[in-house]
Amino acid sequence: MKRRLDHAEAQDLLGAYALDAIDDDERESIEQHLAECPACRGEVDAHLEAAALMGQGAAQPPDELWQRISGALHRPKPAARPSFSERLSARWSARSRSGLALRVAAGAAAVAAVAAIAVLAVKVADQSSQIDRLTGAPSGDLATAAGDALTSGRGERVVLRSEDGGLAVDAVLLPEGTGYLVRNNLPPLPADRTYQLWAVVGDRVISAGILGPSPGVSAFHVDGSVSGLVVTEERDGGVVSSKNPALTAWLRT
Amino acid sequence: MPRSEHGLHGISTTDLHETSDPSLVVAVGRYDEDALAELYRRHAGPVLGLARRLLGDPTLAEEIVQEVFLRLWRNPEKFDRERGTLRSFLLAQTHGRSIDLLRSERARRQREEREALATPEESSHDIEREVWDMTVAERVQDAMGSLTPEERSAIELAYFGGHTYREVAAILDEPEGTIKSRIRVGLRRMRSALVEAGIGGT
Repeated sequence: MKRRLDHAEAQDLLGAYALDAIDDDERESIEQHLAECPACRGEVDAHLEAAALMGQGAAQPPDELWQRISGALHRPKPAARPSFSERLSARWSARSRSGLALRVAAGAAAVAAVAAIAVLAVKVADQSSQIDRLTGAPSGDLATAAGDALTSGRGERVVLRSEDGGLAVDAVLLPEGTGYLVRNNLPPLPADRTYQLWAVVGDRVISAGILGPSPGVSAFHVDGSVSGLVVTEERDGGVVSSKNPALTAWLRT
Repeated sequence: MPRSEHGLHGISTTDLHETSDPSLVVAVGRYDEDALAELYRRHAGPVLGLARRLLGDPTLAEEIVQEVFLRLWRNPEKFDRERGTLRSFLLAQTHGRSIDLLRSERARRQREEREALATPEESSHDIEREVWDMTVAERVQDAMGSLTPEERSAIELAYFGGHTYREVAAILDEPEGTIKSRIRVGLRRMRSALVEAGIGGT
């Protein structure tokens, strides 16, 4: 009975859902509702806390259990994650709750891809990127540099767009991993929030820096060839991995 | 770009014990094995305790522990600190996986033989190895005491017995709607009792 539940029907099932006491088809319907209903999510979270306390008996794990787990950490990952280029038919979903979420046209792969992209964002942060505040030259100079990059013929002009097309960020990319955000219509954020830029390099998503609450012209640099750019909104100071939806995105097709 | 040694990108070993669960999860996201080890130290006991209680089989229970922590290693972003504690997140995963196993095992056995099952709540606990935090356990008992007997049996059959609410309704010979609502109302009541007792957050 996979069908949409109305709010009252979903509410009735929340307790049973929190205890895993429902059938799989109902689970799907409920999760669909939960994705759209903060009130029901809040109620489930409260039920889960109660259930967790109920299940709170502790046992002493045998010593070798951690050895087994720790040994498994280093095993090569099972099937390789699909490369990012395989997911090029994807589009960022501004509405998804699943963090830096990507919805893939290829149906079945969608869930896996969403998970993979979020993981990539997390795992890579350490390797090459810091959460840098993107500053540098006065914006006039940056604008000039960006203009030069464009007119030199080496720069590629790309546009990050929101899903509904209402927001746009114009950028210029140079082949060696430098880029400029030229102009945008992102609404100003409160002082304790910031926009953050993410770059897709190979199959990784790297923080390319913090743009501040009302971004102007910015320069960024990442190592490698950029095949996608994403802007998210984060708390001031930025994050190493984003749980927030892409506000605007561009992916090389 | 310079690589920072502290702050967001490094937790020194001495600080591990004082680092909050959510920060450790962020570190796990950077493949920090020490962070995972610390989370395991904090939560493996309760995870194992619940899996054992549900499955009644120490070997299977350990497999669940392994699976739950490996999942945390591979998908740390699945934990959302705004939605609850890491403990309840891990126990919810433990419950879900254990119930999956239990149900498939049950289905298998039901096909093979029609005789009654040893339900997990009757199966042997390894009491000796169970170390309860007595204060919390007592308060949880109190909170469960705030339930009506009907709510309590519905919740226990579902949570510890691994039955769906439909099965619970059949077992107790009550309408499904009644069981759904007993579970929901009961959980709410427990939650407020626990919050009143000062455990379980806000």
